[in-house]
Amino acid sequence: MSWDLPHFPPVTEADRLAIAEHLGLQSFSFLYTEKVGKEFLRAVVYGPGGAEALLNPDAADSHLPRLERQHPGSLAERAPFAADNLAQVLLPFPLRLWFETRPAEASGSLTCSDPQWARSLGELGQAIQALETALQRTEISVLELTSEGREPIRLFFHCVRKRFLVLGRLPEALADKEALRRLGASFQWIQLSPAAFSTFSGQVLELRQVLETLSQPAKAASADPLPL
Amino acid sequence: MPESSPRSTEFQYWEEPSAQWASRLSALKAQGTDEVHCFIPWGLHESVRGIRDFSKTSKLRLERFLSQAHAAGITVRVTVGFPPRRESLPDWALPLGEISALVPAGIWKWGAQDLALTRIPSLHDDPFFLEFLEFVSDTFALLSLYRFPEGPLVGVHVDWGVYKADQGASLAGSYGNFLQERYPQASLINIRYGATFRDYATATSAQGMRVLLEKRPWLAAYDYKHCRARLLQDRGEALLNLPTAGPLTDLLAFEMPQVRAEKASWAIAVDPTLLESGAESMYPFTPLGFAHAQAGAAFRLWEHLRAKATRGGAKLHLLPTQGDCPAERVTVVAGRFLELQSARLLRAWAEAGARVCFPLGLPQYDENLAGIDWKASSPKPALRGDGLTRRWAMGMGEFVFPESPGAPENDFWDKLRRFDGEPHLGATP
Repeated sequence: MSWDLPHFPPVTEADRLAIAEHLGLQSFSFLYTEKVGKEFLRAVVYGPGGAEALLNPDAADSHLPRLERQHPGSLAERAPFAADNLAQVLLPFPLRLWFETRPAEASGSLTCSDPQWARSLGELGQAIQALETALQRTEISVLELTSEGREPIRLFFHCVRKRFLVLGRLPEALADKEALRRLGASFQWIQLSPAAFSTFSGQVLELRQVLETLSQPAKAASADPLPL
Repeated sequence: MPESSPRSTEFQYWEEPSAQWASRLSALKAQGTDEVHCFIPWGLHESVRGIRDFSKTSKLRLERFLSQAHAAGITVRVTVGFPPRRESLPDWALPLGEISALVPAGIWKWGAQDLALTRIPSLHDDPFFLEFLEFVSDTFALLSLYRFPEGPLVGVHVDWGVYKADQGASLAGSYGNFLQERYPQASLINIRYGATFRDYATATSAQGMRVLLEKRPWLAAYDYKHCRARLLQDRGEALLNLPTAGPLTDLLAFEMPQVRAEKASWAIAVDPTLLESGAESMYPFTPLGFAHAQAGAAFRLWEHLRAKATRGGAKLHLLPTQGDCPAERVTVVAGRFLELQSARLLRAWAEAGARVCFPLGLPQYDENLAGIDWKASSPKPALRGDGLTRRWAMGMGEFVFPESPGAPENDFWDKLRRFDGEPHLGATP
């Protein structure tokens, strides 16, 4: 933590849900189940209407893509303060489990019943990696996500040598570009407003395109004194 | 101590630039805040083992912060302990001790729902606890100089935090002593559980815990939580016995005062015995990571109710709640077992005029496996039934429960919402 910076509240689960809504990821339904051995601990349908916890997982719509987490004989264990990657910071539970970098035996294996969804989740990871590259280009970054009918959400990033020293929400009172610019050697304010698509794969493709464009280095003026 | 209830807010001095403390506190006072609550993080004040920093780093100048709060006319209530924050534990303390606490991973991230467990040093392991005790001793010595009215300090809250959801408490050496409080002879455990343990050691081993959970899951959860609460009480006594705790004795509290909610028309009271609570989320009861089908069912039921209640504007209460009846109609979500204290509370609520509904049927047994005598304290209840629901007049209120309750299904919320004794809605068809 840098002692000179003001306090940026950490990203909460409510923020992650808001981020997923702005990215258009909350519009698609899927069933998430969690088991220890054969016992169901959890069965929840996530979708545009929010989360619906099921008492009887067998009664769920069989057409829904299913994310299944299987703990070994007892609940999986993980290190208490292991650093999260950017996808885990930004995406809500249980989507962020897909981006675990730890081995399956440490966090419980996660499988997806729908191959196309699984592929799109992989692409979503690549899209967020592109965002990470873009955010690492300056010491201070603000990412502002907007979409129609929703409150915008702003995130603050302080990055030194490709490591995020501070990553938190930017409170309204601190959203002063000039003051933020003075906090570091370089500064950028990224605004994202992805379009909405009707399929999960379409939505992820849109995000990937937007974020990969963002991560491309700005075109420098041609070094060739005599271009053809 | 100030008498009227002050307007309070959270102010973590170590999260704010120290140069701004005075202006922030003055601004809070101008907005009508009389009291601030702050956490004194061991992990930051003793980031290097044995060097307790209360004055070197600008953001950790606790005395300066207390003086500035006093100058601004604001009282301060502090918390020491282990709220679910990274700053609660110093890095160097993580490998200490031989036994571990097992804490739901989601606890560390507010509102997160990860059911995996995280391993941290156990509070019941002396090398770790003694280090914490030394930090608390120094902190208390400093705080005692700032008591109200000479200073701003009006309360010291000891929060065991993440350790209240410890799933590894049975690993503590003294766990068996507290089990012995419940069962003075090991043979009594065998009678209650239908088990064949030779002694307490086998009953409290990992394999023993699994057997207890398999035999009687609700009772195993009750016994485990009883022993865990007694272990924490024991640690609390060690803290109170610190020489520096003396001047603060009247300010020390282990529980924060509950905010009394306004009485609603409907409330849902849930038996949490097979659940664990921590940092705004609930988790299934999974001692040493073992998950029993009943704990899974209780957890799925909780998640079902929480999602629906949030949308439906109803409030969920965990039994036994403190204080008066929260609503005119209380729907109780409990199985065949219920803690005696909760049973007494529900009966008192009904006698005071509430309609207490049990859509899953009347609980039958308490923690001693004795039958709950629902009718004992009131005149013989008037029984009215229509073949589907039964209604017992209890004092000024009544108990309502189905004639033949069924297992909850995916439409449980709808049934529960309508279950108020209307004949056509009471029972599972």
